[in-house]
Amino acid sequence: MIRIENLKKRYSSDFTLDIPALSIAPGERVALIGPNGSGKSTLLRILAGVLKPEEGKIGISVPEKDTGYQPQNPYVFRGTVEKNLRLGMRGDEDIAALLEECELTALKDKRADRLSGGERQRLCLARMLAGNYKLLLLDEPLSAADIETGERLSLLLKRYCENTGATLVMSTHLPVQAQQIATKYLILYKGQVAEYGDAATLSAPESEFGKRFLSQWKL
Amino acid sequence: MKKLIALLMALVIVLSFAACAGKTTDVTTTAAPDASQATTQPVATPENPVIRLATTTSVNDSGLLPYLLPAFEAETGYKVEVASAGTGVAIGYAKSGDADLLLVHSKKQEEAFIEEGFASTERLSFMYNFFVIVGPADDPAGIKDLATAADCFKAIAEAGTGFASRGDNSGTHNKETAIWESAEIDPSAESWYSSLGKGMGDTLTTANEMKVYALTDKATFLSMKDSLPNLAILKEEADDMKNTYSLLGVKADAAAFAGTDVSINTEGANALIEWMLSDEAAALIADYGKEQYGEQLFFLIEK
Amino acid sequence: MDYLKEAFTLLLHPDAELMQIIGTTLTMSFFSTSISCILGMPLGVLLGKRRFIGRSLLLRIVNTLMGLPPVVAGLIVFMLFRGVGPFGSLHLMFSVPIMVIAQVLLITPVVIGLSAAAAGEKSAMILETARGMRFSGGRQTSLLLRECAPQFVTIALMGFGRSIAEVGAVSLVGGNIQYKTRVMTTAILLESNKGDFRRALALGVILMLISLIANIPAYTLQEKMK
Repeated sequence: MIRIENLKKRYSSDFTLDIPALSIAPGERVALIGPNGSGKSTLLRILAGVLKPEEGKIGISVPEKDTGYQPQNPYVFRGTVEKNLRLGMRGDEDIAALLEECELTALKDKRADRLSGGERQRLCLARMLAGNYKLLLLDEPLSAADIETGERLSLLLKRYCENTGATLVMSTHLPVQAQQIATKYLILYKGQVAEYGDAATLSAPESEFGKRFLSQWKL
Repeated sequence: MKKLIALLMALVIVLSFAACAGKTTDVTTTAAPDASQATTQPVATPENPVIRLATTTSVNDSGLLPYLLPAFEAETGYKVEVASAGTGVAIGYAKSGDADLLLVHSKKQEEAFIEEGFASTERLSFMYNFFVIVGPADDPAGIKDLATAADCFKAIAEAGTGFASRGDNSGTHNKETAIWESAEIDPSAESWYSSLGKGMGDTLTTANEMKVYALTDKATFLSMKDSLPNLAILKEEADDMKNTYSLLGVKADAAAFAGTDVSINTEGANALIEWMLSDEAAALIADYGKEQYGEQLFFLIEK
Repeated sequence: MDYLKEAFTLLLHPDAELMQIIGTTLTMSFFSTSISCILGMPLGVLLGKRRFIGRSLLLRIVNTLMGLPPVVAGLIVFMLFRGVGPFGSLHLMFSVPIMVIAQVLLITPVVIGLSAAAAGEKSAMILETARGMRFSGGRQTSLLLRECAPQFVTIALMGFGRSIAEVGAVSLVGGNIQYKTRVMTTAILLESNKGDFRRALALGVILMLISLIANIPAYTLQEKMK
């Protein structure tokens, strides 16, 4: 599904993303975690094809047109919430149902640039789901949601992936969200993979950094 | 990209040209109805009907040309486009090939123009008026009873109460400079001397505000009198204050035009010159101002 | 107050000359603004969104040209298009088209600079988002333009405002010829130079009214766009 070999990409004056080998199976939901500046956004952008790596090979079996990518702080377009959602549609998705699921029905005629931070993220998530992508690459999609909303949306995202068989790679700094959604956990530290594995990884990290980082995570 | 821009530019030029061309002719016909009614049948339009006249602001602003030209246009079918600026700029337009003839009042610059080979005619000096010295009515420098303009300027310099100069290399400015020279005074660095770099009207307005002396042509001063309550004519009709206006045709084959696409409407320019020197124009000029200001503003030079 | 009254009297009973002056002014401003926008907006957006070698130098040049004094623009065009100048054969001196050319020289840099600023601010985010949604290149660009549209309206209005209020360039290349190249500003200059301040001010009031009238539909359009 996704196969990375000898990936190298310098992303700041100090750090280089350096991943010798990594593969993600179809249908997996990977939570990308790590401190600021660990290379999460860089990895997502490389997978999305927005950035070119300096070295290495990336193999993705999903055609690019079916890969949806959402940057951190995505842009909402001029017009209403509904208009934005329609911009994201690529087929005959049920817009009313999507609005309902993402708790946007009451807001559908509101101007998108007047939404609060949380509302805005819900809209962007809905817009991604409206695209019916086979691979979703999301950069901090739920960082502004409060705990309860965040939980509902996490479950929504998870259900979407289960129903459609889509693969998900999303970065997050919230342990709860990661655990609600993910089947795999990828911990990055200074551009390197510190840990990669299933739920067991969280309880038994192998690397020094993994141990230190997860101990602060209050799982 | 460059080509595209050039193409766009060209397209737009043509478009706006078309848009304006229609409009101009349209308005012109409605604009001068009095003149066309006053005279006999207009003659057929000449082959090259547009005459480009570059002149000084003083002739145009005082209203003389707007008063004279409709009669000429109605009689001949020519259309005179008057670009008015200071004498310096007007001559600049002519030297650039953008005027067919000049109506100016600066002997020195006219002679230079002829010397540089731009003129198709000699200086056709046909009318004059008087420069006047205006200033505060109480005349702080006491110039009223002095004999010549040079004497007046000396008194103004001595009193040091203030003088506003056009400072724009115009005919009036050149005349002023000549008077300073004959008075043997260089005022340019003096604190009471303001060189404005402006047209006649602006200069008078400024002099009015500052309550200082200024040299002006009489016609412009009279036409503006209502808005100049602080100024009065203190000295006029001295021998050294004559303001002579001349016509000069532009030479179509002047050396400076060689190799360019300049086209001078010599025929039109000659027609206008001939008309301006005619008895009919003379009568109109002699009448000008009598009704509005109660006195003659421009005088004809005896032929 | 008297001046206002005179302005309205003049506006309600315009003479042929005033009609012509207003017509020429609007024609000139319409063309200079449109051409400046057609040239300047795509260039500005390109300059705002793309990162390429020499971009900052180009931006600096544009920013400098934004402050080009109108008289200097007029002078450049005069030197180029006067009878003996390199483009003298076009015989454009003292015509509305040459006034338009001088104003385009004056306004285009402003349009480029402002468009670059408008697009630059958000183009990176818009493009990355649109790209992530797998929109085609053409659709990405049209989305970018669509997002900048309200600013474009403002920019066009600013261009129009600068054009209609400008006097230095148009008086030099236009020559202020009655019934031909006389526009509102040169007419105001002429009237005030003649000492007829009442008519000058009345013309000024009319000029501002025209600006105001031009602003209303633009403002409505802008509100609608949000």
